[in-house]
Amino acid sequence: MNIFPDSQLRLSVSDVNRLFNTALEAQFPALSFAAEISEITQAASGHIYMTLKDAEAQLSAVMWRSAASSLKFKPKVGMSVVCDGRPNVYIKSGRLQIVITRMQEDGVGALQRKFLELKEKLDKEGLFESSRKRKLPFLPRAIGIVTSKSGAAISDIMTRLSARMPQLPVYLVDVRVQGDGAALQIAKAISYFNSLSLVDVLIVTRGGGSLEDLWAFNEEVVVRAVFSSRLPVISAVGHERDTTLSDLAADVRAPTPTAAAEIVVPRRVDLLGQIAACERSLLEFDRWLQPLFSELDAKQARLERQLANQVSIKSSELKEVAAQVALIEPGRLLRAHHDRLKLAVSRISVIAGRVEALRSEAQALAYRLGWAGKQSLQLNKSRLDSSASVLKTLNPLGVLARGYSIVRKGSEIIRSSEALKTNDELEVSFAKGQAMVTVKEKKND
Amino acid sequence: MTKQQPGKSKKSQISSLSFEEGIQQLEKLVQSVESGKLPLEESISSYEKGMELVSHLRNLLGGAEQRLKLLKQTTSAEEAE
Repeated sequence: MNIFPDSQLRLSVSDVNRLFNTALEAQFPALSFAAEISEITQAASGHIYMTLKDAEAQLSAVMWRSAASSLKFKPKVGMSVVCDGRPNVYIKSGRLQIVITRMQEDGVGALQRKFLELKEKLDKEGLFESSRKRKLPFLPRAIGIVTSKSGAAISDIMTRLSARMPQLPVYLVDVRVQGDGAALQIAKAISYFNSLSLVDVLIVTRGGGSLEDLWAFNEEVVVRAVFSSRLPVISAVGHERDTTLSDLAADVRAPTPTAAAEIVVPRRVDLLGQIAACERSLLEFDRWLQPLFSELDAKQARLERQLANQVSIKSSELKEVAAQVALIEPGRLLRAHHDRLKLAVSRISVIAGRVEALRSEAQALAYRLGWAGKQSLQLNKSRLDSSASVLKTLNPLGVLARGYSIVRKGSEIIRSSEALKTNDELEVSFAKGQAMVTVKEKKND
Repeated sequence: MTKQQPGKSKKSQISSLSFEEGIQQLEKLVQSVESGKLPLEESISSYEKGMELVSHLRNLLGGAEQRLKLLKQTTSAEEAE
């Protein structure tokens, strides 16, 4: 196409480029657009040359020194920016570029950059180390919450807490959760809780919002307060998809305020169930114990009877000896009898001592078995220890309970069929009850 | 197992246990009693201590209904609501 059809004039390349410029400037006197800086160089002259891009396209751009000198920030690769400019064909190369007159940081882009920079810095300092994350108390005695008293977060948390652990005290320090001063208030509230001995765990929280709304929880002062908290901290800021630096520094990150309430306490009904199950097992043990005590009572009675018998046998022996001593001329056999008598007396005193000891033990046992007076039980501890060992050796119940039986002929316990004759009457004791049986046939293995 | 003297589980010790410590001790006691391997004397004292733990743990879960207390950042905690 020739825009000067009647002219003989031939356009030069420079003319074409200039024509383009005239047309472009007329068509697009001012453009404003968002971009990300993908390459940037500042020449010695002060001009800045950049490549701007978005996900699909890129543009060359230049910012002359005059414009560059009024920049309020230092543009860097990766920054999101908003640019004002106009298109221009660079005459020398014919390359289309944008001459930028004004450039500003994009708000969200700027926050994201600050976020990343601070994250990197604090990460290097070790604030997000997983090794420093503490375990939350299994059941805190009280919970501290840092949030706004009128926000959604506190009501979500209280609803869930009353369902799970309704008796648990909850303390709130009301803070601004966004806007000016919010970060400082949150940080102070965290250290305030740490200065009291009121709660065992903290929840730092707010409901969902934009990156700007949640920004306070990315402020260094808050992240450091979370990091330095003596009390374990659960951070629950925004929704699942939002991760703040406070979340990273906290001991536990909860995706939502409601989730924080679920993490911070177990369900009361579950715990009560657990306790009740233990109690049932203990009571079962107690029921199992009762027949054992009856058995022990019987053993004790038998022991006492046997001892009484022995005492009476020995004392009649003694009487016999004494009678003989009286019959025989004292002078002749006195020395010999004296020795025998001494022996007998010492044997009797040994037996009497044993009787006394066993009687005390028996009394202690009776006392113990009757479940009476737990206090004196403890005083009689040493006696009980010895009775416990007596009891352990005497107690065949455990064996019987496993299906063994005791077979007696008269008072003699049968350990071999060699001791038996056909038609012998035997008594068989089981864990519960006895039976009288007759030997039909015997085999000696 | 800790070698605790039977009968010497003082009430004061149990009442200072946290819930977690208490429930752990209780479950251990129940296990050892159920195993049947303890001497009788120890089983009985385990049983008694277990029942004390049960009531302590129930106490910890008892208490008044939850109340939200608003703290003002002053030197002492105060109830504002």
